[in-house]
Amino acid sequence: MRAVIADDSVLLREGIARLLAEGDIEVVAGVGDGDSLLAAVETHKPDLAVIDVRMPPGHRDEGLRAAIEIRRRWPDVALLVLSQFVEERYATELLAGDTRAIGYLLKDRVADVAEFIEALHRVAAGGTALDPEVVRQLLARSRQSDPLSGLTPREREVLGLMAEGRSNSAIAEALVVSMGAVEKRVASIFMKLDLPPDDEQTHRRVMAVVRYLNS
Amino acid sequence: MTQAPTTHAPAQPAPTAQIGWSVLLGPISPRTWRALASVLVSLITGSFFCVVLACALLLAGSVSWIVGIGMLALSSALRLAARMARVDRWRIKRMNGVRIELASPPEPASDLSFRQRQKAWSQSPAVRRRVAYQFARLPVSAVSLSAVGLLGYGMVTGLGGTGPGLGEGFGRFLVGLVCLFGWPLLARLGSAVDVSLARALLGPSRSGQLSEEVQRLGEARTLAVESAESERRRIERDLHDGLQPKLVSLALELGLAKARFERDPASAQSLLNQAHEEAKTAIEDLRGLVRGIHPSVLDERGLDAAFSALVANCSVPVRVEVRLAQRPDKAVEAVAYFVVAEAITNITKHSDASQAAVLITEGAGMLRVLVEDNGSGGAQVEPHGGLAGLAARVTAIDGTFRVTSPPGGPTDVEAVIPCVR
Repeated sequence: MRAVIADDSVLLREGIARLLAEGDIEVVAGVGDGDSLLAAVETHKPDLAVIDVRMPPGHRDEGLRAAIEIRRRWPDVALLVLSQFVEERYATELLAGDTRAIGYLLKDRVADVAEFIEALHRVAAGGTALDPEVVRQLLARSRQSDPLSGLTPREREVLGLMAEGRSNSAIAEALVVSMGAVEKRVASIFMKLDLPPDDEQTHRRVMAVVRYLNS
Repeated sequence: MTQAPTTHAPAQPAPTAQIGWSVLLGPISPRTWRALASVLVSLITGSFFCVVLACALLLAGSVSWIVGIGMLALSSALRLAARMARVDRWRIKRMNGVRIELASPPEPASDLSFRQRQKAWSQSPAVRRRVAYQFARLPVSAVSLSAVGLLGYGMVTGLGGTGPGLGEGFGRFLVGLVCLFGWPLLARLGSAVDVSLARALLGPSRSGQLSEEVQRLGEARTLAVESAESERRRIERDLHDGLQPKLVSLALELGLAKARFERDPASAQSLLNQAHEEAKTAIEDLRGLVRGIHPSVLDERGLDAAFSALVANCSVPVRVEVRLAQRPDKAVEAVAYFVVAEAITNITKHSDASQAAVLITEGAGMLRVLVEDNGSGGAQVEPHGGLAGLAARVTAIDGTFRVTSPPGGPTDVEAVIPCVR
């Protein structure tokens, strides 16, 4: 698998490259701003782009905009967006078109090597990886309109893990319960939120969750 | 020990003696003659204006059937009165040594017609007050000049011993003496009344001064808010771009080392070494950052102490001189510190200077901060730049900020800040 890294901190670029190497991902280019990222993606046609949100020249959301542009022009490139802060609004913008092969994580997550690499592979395989922090913001915001009031605390927990992009088995592992118990809760969540159950592909579940929470 | 500023010089003579001398020297003092000249010029220009005005009124009256001529004559007279304010200001400055800031008529809005603008201009308080001065000063100068003339006559006839009407002998001499020392006083009194009239009618009115002050304060407040905001943004940027990536990278390396610990101890070891180094530089960065926000030694020991670390980090040798009798207000100290800090940073980064100097002095209730270098110059206050931030901070506490940096150098950065607010 081949990847491009975009981060204006050389130190972090090198660190992330090492991390990707650890997960058997080859780094074909490392760039420091949005424009060179687009150029690098055009040249190398990588499988995956790891992108920092804040980059020169404006140090605002250049990375995010570059990511949206990449998705528009080269839809096959998987995107993992990293940020020092995660913002629900950025996640919504990023996921607005298409939630396939997209990840949005706090930069801190690179410290947990195994988990980060797992998220990388999940995104590269077409799945989704949303930071728990984003999910927390999404859930907190939607509490006012309260479509979730009918959920039990446990179901809420499952919904949160689901929104992060985890599979049922991963949720079962995280909550230390049986696979059957998770499936039952997922079905109950879909029913309570009036969503047609569809657990073939994890990203579609996330899309449903995100869209629902932002409706 | 600190020395309190002395306001009374011990060598100065007592007030009564001073007055006595001034009366005795009155007739030969240049001040008297200048005052006399000033009143005389005032009378001449005032009469000139009245003559012109009278002609204008006459013309307006006699040819009033020609529509507009009367209006034109009057408005010309008004314009002349407004112009003459400048002449009077010049006269009072040269002959009385008093500076008067002319209150100017408001700038008329450009979307008005010529006639409307004319009307707004002629009805503005500043113009009306200028005309009022032209009338008011006439009796003052006429009366005082007549009185001076009378005393002059008394002096000449009294002391010269010729001419009728002043009695004989010692009495006559005494009257002459009184006139000799009396006329300078009268001349000065007349001139003083004229000057205070000019000050009251030509200078800014109280409400004008207040509205200017309100505007200035409003601007200063906006600057203060902006400078605080840009300061916060700078701190955020420093933390985000400087420290945070280092810490993330540190965590990443430790995470990798942990992951490799079992199967590849050698590479884990080298990762640990690297992480250790990074942790140390992160601490160093944090220290620099905290110091940049507000060095605690500034609070504890004052400017001189706080400059030591700044200067030590500067690649150019800097001479530091702090001449303060006592420590200024904390806010003043902080602004002075940041002026020097920013200037030193600029010297290190851009100036190519071989030496620099920091000079802090105080006088007349103001703290003066001066940073100079012999570098290549060309420093400019650009929007959102470091120097603009400084200018905003200094202005916000009623100070003035100036950068002199011609291409080729040298560069002077100067801030003058009121110590007592």
